[in-house]
Amino acid sequence: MDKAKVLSEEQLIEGLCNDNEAVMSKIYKMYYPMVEHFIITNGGLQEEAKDIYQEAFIVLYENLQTPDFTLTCKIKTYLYSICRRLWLKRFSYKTKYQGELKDSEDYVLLDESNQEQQQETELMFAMMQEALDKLGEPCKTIIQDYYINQMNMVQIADKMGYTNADNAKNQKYKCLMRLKKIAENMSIPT
Amino acid sequence: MTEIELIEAYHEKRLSPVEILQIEERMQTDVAFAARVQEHLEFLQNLHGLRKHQKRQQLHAKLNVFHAELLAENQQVSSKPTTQANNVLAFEPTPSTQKQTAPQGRRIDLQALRHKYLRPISVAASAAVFTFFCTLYAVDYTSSVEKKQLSSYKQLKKEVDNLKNRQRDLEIKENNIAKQQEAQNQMQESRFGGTGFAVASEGLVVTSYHLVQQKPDSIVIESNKLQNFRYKADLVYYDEANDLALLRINDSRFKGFGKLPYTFKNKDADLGEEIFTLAHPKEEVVYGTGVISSQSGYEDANNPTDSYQVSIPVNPGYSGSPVFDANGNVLGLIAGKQADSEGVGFAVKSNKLLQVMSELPDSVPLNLPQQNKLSKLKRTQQLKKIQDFVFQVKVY
Repeated sequence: MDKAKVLSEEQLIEGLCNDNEAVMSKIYKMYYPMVEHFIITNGGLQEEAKDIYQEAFIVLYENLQTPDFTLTCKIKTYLYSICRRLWLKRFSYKTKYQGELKDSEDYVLLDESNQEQQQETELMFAMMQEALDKLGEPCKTIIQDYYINQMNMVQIADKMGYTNADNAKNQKYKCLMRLKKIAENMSIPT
Repeated sequence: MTEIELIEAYHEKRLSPVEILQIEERMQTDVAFAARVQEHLEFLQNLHGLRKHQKRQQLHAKLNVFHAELLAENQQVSSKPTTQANNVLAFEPTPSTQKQTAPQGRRIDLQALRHKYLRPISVAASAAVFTFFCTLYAVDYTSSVEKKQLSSYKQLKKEVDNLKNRQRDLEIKENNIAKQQEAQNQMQESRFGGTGFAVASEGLVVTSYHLVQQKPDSIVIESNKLQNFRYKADLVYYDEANDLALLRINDSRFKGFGKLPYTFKNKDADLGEEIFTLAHPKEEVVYGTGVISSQSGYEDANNPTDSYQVSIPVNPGYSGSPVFDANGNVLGLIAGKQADSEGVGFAVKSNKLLQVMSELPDSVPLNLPQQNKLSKLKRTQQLKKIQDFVFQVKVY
């Protein structure tokens, strides 16, 4: 391997924090085989290995984005530990198997407190996204830009071609009310 | 400002301290208002939360791209080990341009995808082209080789013949080994015993020689049909070649068998004749049926024509069992079976048995049965009668 391309652990973490796609790709490709091996030796399929690994990767990424999070072990160990926990959960669900997993790597115990909650909010978001998709243009863009992309009304008015920020604001209000209505109708059956 | 806008301003902390105080005071007193505030705040939070959700989905899409790349790289590595697998950094677009393009939606994403896929695809294509030419070359090569092969064909055939011969030799060796093992098995079996049956009312019992050939300490004849029928017996005569042994019960309590219900056939049985047997593979007697499947026995025996091949299931403990025809004439006695095939048993012919008995010294009294009492009976009744004359031969 070329010397210039060998990155230290710190550089890898920094790259992940800063959305450096090249670094992310590198990390992804570096540790996938380890996880695939783990999943397959513990009764899983390649496809499941991919799912579990990607979920773990997202957890790692999101945790690194939160300011009060510090990684106390190597990226490799952390990814392996998350995958291990996820697989334990899915595997025991799949087969009611309570036995031991065959480990090939060291792992650390993880804080599981917010796991259940995360799944719930994930559902919530999916619903909200669906409502937003149903909203239609230009409302969708306005709502997206204001609430999600955090643009201000002046920028939005400029982008969408409103004469001033107040007009855009009125439009945004109407859109928000419509979105609320859609979301309410969607949440009734659940 | 509508209520919703007010709540939103409150949420976004755009209100003055006085306004905030007003809202919080109203929430204390007006429960319905408080609920509406709470509800809208939650809604706004969820809406803001979409940012995380969308980001997660974008990340997921990226990971899928990485995954596809990884698979492509693995293939590339396996087909062309010399290509650089770790040149990712050098060719990736810089993160800053990625960030600028990201919010502008799908079209740009597609461009990014194309950009990312271009390399693996081109690699795959070049691998395909490479393989194509390799195949062309290989096809050309094999057609030239074919000519050479024609000339060496004869030789090859001879080699195959040699191989065949060698294999046959091996098989013969194997057979010999199998036979030796069979003989050993039979020896071992003799420690457990077999079957014998009465041939003369004076207490003569015939069985297989291999059961008693090791000069046992004692031979015991036992019946589980007749009460207290357990007598010591002596080996009075044997014919090793035909695997026959004659035992005589040597016990003062023994008063004779009485008249035997069966006779011995001194002619060869017909091919396909229905036969049955009674044997003692266990304490209880076991009935089996079959046919004469060949008028000669084990091919490699000295005199194959001295025995039949029978299609009766034959198992350890069957040695010495009588073979009867449908009328209850003794046709022979089970001697063994072919170890490597199923349903191939061998029985010594009854005329051999008669011959052996005629060779008995005069000191042994012998009254062969003259009358068959079984020929008109049903099979079950035949069996009832025969049972009393079929014994376990136990060798100690």
